[in-house]
Amino acid sequence: MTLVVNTERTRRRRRSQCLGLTLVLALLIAFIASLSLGVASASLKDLIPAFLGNVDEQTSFIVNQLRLPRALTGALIGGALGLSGAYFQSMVRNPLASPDVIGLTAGASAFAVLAIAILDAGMPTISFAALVGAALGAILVYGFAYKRGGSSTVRIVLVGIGVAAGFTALTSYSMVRANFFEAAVAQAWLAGSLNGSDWSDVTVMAATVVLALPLFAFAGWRLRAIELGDDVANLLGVGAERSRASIVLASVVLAGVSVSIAGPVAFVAFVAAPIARQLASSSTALVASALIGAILVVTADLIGRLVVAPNELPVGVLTGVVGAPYLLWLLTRMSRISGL
Amino acid sequence: MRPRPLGRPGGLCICLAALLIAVLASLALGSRQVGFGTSIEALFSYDRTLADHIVVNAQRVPRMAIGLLAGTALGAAGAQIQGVTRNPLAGPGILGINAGAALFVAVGIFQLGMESISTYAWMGLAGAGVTAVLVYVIGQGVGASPSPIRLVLAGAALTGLLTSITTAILLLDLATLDEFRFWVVGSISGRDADIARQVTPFVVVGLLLAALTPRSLNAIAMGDEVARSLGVSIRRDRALVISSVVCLAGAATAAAGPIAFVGLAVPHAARALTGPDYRWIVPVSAVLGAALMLGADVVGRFIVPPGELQVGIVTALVGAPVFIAVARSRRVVHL
Repeated sequence: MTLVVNTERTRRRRRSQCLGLTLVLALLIAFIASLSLGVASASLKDLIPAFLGNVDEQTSFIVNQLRLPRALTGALIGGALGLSGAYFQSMVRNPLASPDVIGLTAGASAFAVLAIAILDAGMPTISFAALVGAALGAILVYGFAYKRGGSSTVRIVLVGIGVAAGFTALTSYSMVRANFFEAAVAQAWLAGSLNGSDWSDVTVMAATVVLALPLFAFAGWRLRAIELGDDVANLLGVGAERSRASIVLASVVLAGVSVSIAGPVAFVAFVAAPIARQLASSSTALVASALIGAILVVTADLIGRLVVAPNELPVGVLTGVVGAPYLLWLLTRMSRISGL
Repeated sequence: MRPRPLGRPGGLCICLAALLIAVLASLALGSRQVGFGTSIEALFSYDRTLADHIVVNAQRVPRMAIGLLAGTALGAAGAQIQGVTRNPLAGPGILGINAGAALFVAVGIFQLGMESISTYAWMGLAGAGVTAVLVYVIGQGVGASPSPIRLVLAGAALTGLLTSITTAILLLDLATLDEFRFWVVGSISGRDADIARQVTPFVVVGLLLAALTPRSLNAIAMGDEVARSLGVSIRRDRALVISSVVCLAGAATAAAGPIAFVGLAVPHAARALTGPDYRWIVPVSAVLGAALMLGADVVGRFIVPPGELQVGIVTALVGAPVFIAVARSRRVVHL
């Protein structure tokens, strides 16, 4: 019996190591491709000299100042969204969940579009407004869902629907009230784009990830227990409320900063975790979700740069086009769905 | 379960009364005040020489009819889809109905140069139908036991895909965006009686189908295995429920544009009112949905004078605080 269990365990570990390695490789390939391909392509053998500064100024600028920070920002944002999506889906025990559940994206979008349509704001103000909106959305949801004796996932979900609807109404109102040009700017922001990402974005995003990871790690050990429900989790000595609060806080920080840098990059937070679950055949596949999120965003951004060159399609348009068919294909192929 | 002060029939009566008031208000109130008596007169003894009667008959009656149809349809559709997927985050939109309608309308404006609301209605209906069938087929899986998770994931994935394409069209062609942004908000104003007539058969068929399913929804609520052991044919009943949802929500989206909040939130409120029995949840959701839609439309006529606020915006603005209060009350029933 022990032998059987042990073999099964080894098999699983092998399998997840293999999956992890494949995903890291895929991310690496997508990353290198996005450094080398584009309107002006830099050949693979130019890349290393470009990092070291041994090429002509133009190539060095394109690789080091345009493409490298953009790819890094994309990978970090994708990883952040994939990870917080996976945490939320496990926490809420709902495959439709993502940080959107706590009103994050709706709040950020409403404030950003209001800033564009009412204040005629430019870029740094829009980012700031988005960050404020994301935080406000999350605070409203968690605050309204909190009653004496704590919050509950059911209340978080329901209050989240209400708060998100309110914010979405504000967004629609601004979109209808705005003049033609403001509406176009707002629509472009709402699509989510990595265009213009620079090293300061990379720094901010990396710092955020460093800040948020301990919170996720704190909750990560307890995630399986929370999945069994608050009562069981509390019986097992896992503080359900504390774990939930740390997941919410970490997601707010990660997804909030992501949305303020790139706009609401659609679909990543939802799709990464289901794909990871099908590939890993496990209910919590956190690392795999983060990697898949990163691959998805880097690939989508690359395709968006190439497909209508010399113009660009924003990354948020392509994440759906790239991610959705893959999940649909997995769904039709799998005879058993790894649920939550 | 805790006994409720008025019982379920009492609750339904209160909702019906609210709906009746909303219907009358929708006929009587607006930038031209008609008065309740005159608006009823206009319905039953129409006099074409009176301006008030013309306003009521030509503008407010079709508008009220569309609001009534769309609200009823969205409420009933939302209750059924939440029941069959057992997912509180699912609304009629999870079948891809809103995303499909939006894509077809965007393509209609972009490629075919459509610019009238009644052609949008047909494009929207077609898009909703095609997408929902796709979601259903993928959600069934091949040779596998159908699971609500597969359906829900298929719907969300397809929604993401179609929304991406819509966004791409809007970004590439700003003229389309300029038309599309007014449709996508969701509104019941400026539509003539033809649209109401066109979508009525779909709503009627949807409601008839909906009348067949509550018992199976009650069984499905206890889990697929329990439902099967109670003699429910899950495959057949899920197909029934989804056909009903597609008819209802497709018609509503065609007539009023994609309005997400009604189908998503109203069933939760109805569940809090009636308890977990779908024989009550579905009709109460239908009545509440219509009341919310018409009430929001009336409110929208006064919020930003001299203009009007679209019903898609007002349903959420007015409905969200109420809904949050319901969610905070202890009555919330777990799905």
